[in-house]
Amino acid sequence: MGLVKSTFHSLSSLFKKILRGKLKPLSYKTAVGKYSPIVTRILSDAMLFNEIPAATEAESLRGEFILRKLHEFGIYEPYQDEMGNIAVIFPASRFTDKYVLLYTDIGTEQYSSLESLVHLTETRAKEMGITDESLGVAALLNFTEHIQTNSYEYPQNVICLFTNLSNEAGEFKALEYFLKTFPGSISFALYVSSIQQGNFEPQPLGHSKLSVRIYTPEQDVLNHSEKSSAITVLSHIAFQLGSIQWDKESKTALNIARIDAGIGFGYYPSEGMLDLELFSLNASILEMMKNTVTATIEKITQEMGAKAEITLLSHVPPGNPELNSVLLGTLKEVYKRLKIQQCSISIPTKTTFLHSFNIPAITLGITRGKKGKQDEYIEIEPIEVGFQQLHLFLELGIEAVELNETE
Amino acid sequence: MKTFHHSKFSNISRLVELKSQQGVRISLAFPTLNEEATIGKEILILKTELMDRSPLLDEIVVIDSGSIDKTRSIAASFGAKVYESKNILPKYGTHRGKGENLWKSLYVLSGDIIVWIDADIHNIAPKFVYGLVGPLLENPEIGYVKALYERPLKTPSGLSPTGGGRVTEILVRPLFSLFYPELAYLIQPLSGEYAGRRSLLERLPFSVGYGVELGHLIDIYHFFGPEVLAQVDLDRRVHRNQSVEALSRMSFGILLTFFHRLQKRTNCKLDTLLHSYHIALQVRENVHQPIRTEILPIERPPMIEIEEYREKFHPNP
Repeated sequence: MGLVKSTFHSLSSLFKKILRGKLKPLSYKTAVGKYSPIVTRILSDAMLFNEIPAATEAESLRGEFILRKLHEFGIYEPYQDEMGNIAVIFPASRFTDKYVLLYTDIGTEQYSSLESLVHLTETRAKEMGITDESLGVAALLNFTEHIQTNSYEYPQNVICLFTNLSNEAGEFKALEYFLKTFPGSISFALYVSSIQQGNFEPQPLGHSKLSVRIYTPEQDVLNHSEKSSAITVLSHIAFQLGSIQWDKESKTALNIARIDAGIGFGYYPSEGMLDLELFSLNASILEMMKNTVTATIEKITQEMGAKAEITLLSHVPPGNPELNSVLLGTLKEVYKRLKIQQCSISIPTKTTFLHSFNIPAITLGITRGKKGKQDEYIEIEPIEVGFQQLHLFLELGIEAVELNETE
Repeated sequence: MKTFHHSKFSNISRLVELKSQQGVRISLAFPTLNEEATIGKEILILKTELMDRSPLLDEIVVIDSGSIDKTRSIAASFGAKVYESKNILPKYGTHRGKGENLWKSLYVLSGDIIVWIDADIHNIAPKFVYGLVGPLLENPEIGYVKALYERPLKTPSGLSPTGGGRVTEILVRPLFSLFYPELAYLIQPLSGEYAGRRSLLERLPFSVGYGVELGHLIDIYHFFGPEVLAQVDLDRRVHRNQSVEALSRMSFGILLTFFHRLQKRTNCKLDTLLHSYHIALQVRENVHQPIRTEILPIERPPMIEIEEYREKFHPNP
């Protein structure tokens, strides 16, 4: 524990220098090794976390990992609820009933006992799932360790929440449960994400996620009728939906996220699935779009002799663009001070939900990386500055939000 | 034979306390040859969890046999001390083989307890080290701990839950059953992960090649008795799967070591000379063609017999 403490004390003093405005890049390299202790700790936790099977009921296995780590940090009784949420609350440096929420997603859309075993090169960590929130979870864990070990206090109370955004009860249900039962007032929220460093979310788009399952009659591969296969039906649906012109002014757009059909060679493809995302800044247009898409799919499947099952996976109405303005200003300042290149305009699918609770929210990406079927990786080098963002954003963000309230 | 589960030793703070009370140092070494795919992760996780966060390990060292990939640079970039095997005790020459690296590591490592872990593990975790070290820290009568685990085969369609340990089941366990029944109770006698006390290890000769693990077990049996052996269950180890051809060569090397040990340590005599060429048959254009690979029964003497070692570790006899 002594070594842990001394490492974090040295990190803490460096963070304090940053927060006082002496914003030179941190340089606390170890005598041996290319990366600083905070980077190796985050990476180690991320790799171990990534290998824990998912999905399990309330992501209990991944939750156990988080609880064990918190226990090692000296946090013995974190908040836990029946939705699988785990949270640690750190009191502010002064009396206040305001809270800042840092949250991350402990679930994953993909897990494989083989492909989730991470590989490390000198500059990257690779393999499936690593660009999901394994690194975000690890960064938030290490942030928790840092605050706990140093008894660090921010001007507002800080909640570190490990939640499962894709809980079996439905998307955002676990987070919703936490927000509905939490008695305090949350000033703003930061979603800690693995990749998307330099991310900027100017507009809180609403979104709907639809999953479509297509069934056509089963037939012999060499002796089938003229009726369409699931692949033909899906192709037709994709073509028709892709040719619809949506309202550009309200940023209305459709993303065909995934098409999957057929078993493989030798089998007639009689089943298939299609995942769709719909985006818009306008709630009524988003609703209309959902109806249009559903009607189009139903019409095509009927005409082609197929059956369709359409499931609404989630629906988040557009947020209030004014709500995030202070946070976006702070984000620009954080990027400027830490020399992070503002490199992407992403879709805020994991933060807009909080607008329905009137909570401003943005995403902070810990590093850069790429999600792909064949090539999925995160870069190691940007992790250090990615971690610094959390501290700097809390300091500057709380100050900015309080100043805005006073004005 | 004492058998443990790694979870018995998962209280790392307790192990660190025992280590401190006993005043011992613990070293971890990886023997490597072209392991760039896995070495970085192994070092990063074990160094972070068991050196930086909890000071259970005092050093992590890589002993490399001349990798032509990035093994050495990756290992160094994640904080291991890296040695080329040929540069350690150069006066004694160099041989290529895992046993050679392990033998030479005894000279460069500083620990009283030595942990050796293969560098091809995909699912490395701290339990691989604390599971092996725990029995030694908690049981003074134990001198050598071997890992056991499920070894799922890595196949194109994913992980097959059974398989692995083929040389053990087809060759080693029958041999042990015939000549050393007590050792037949070791579940994974050839596992590449084990830990021992320096005081024991320095008295063992080392086969430089495939037979190093088997040689250790037979020598420990004769020198110290099977009661100093223990095994620990690490649940599961995912690693690169070897071809049947490679396993055949491995079996040849193991048999060489076995027969040499048998003649040396018992009254058993072989009437014929053992040949040193492994013969494999490869089908080329519908014809079986022999592939001859020389595998010599090279053995390093106990490290305690090396003058430089005695000067370093036992300066005042």
